Amino acid sequence: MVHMGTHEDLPQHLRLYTTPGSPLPIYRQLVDQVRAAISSGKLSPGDALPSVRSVAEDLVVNANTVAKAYGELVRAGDVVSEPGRGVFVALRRPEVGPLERKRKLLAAVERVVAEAIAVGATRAELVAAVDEYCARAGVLPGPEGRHGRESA
Amino acid sequence: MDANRLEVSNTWADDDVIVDRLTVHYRDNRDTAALDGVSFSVPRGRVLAVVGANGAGKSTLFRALLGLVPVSAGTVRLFGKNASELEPFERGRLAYVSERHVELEHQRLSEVAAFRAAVYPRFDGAYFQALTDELALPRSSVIGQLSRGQRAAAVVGLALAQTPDLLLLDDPTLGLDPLARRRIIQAVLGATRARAITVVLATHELADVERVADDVTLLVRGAAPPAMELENFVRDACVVSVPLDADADGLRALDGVLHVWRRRADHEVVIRGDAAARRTTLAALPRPSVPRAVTFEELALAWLAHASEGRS
Repeated sequence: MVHMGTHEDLPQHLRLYTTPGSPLPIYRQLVDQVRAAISSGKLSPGDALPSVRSVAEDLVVNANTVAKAYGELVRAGDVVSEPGRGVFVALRRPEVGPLERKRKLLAAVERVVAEAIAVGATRAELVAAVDEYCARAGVLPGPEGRHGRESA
Repeated sequence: MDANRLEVSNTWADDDVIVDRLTVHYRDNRDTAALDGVSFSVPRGRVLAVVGANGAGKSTLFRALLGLVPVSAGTVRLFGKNASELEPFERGRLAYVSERHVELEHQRLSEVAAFRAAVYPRFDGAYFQALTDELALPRSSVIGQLSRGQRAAAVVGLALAQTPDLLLLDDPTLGLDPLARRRIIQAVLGATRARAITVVLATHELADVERVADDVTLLVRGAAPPAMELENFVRDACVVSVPLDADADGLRALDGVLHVWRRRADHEVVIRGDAAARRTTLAALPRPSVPRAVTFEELALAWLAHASEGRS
């Protein structure tokens, strides 16, 4: 019998997964998923992340890969590691300067655009998809967000 | 040249496996190298995947790691010692699974385990019991009656139960169905979580490489990329398409072009190099599309195709 673990002690809404054949390395997929969960409010400040061990076991990936993803999240200030207790969503978003903010945003956009090209999307489709995603997730409200929410 | 002299940086000093410019010739054909200048190292607790075409010298590499073939040039060091000079107690720190899954056909799995426990001081019988449950293995079955997947799982389970510091796996999931493969991968990953095991894993399953490996090295003839972290491997490459009227041989000859796939509607060009080098290559291409990121599988295939064309 293959053992399938669950994150029993964890917020049920954080479900990490891997996408086979993605150009994004697995550790990067995990970083992106945790950040998305935080920015969409699925994870709140102070919430615990599943342990490296349990994620590695559940997703059948190398534990070093998960540890690397968490390490990046800690370095970026998205989460804090409390030795012996676990890893928790940071209480406050770290302060970043406007240049650093722009750089990070462009780096994130670069990945999204690469994925969009990979699936053959047009620029208009990409922009529409961003609006739709934000509306559904209820994040980054804007003029488009209201229409998106109504139609969703 | 003194082949035994090691010129390694300090970061290598503690690595469990150091293969440095290893060259091995075929015994019956001294003019042909089975391995030609292969180098990589594996730090303690990391998993290195070795990906290569059939006949690229994979089995020779494992025999060299076991210290079983004469080395023409270069060195193979395990735990800081020459691989052919390990003492018995040091040999006990490593476990090897060959792709042939050789076992005693007429014995029961439990009998083989008992024999291993008597021979290997580090064999952990209780752990083996747990592994057989995890791997869905009937302990009382005669080895010869096990399915292909069960037999593979049995030899991997026996190797893990030796509680090795270094695990050498020569294509343990070759020809197995997806579930049998998954069970074996789970067992190996579980063992690496429990203890710091250094693993050298040869496999043709590129999807498994992404799950299991920290580092990857390609075993190909001619120029190969050095062993590196999986994500760095795909980071320094991209893919563009180029109209079909471009000459494929001309594209292949460009610096930085790793491989050109001819498709129905266009050429798909795999480019390697750091960001600056890729920009230079892109500028030399006729009407290239916007570059996109490359998947591990795409890049590994491009390297294998590149090597099979015999280019340097």
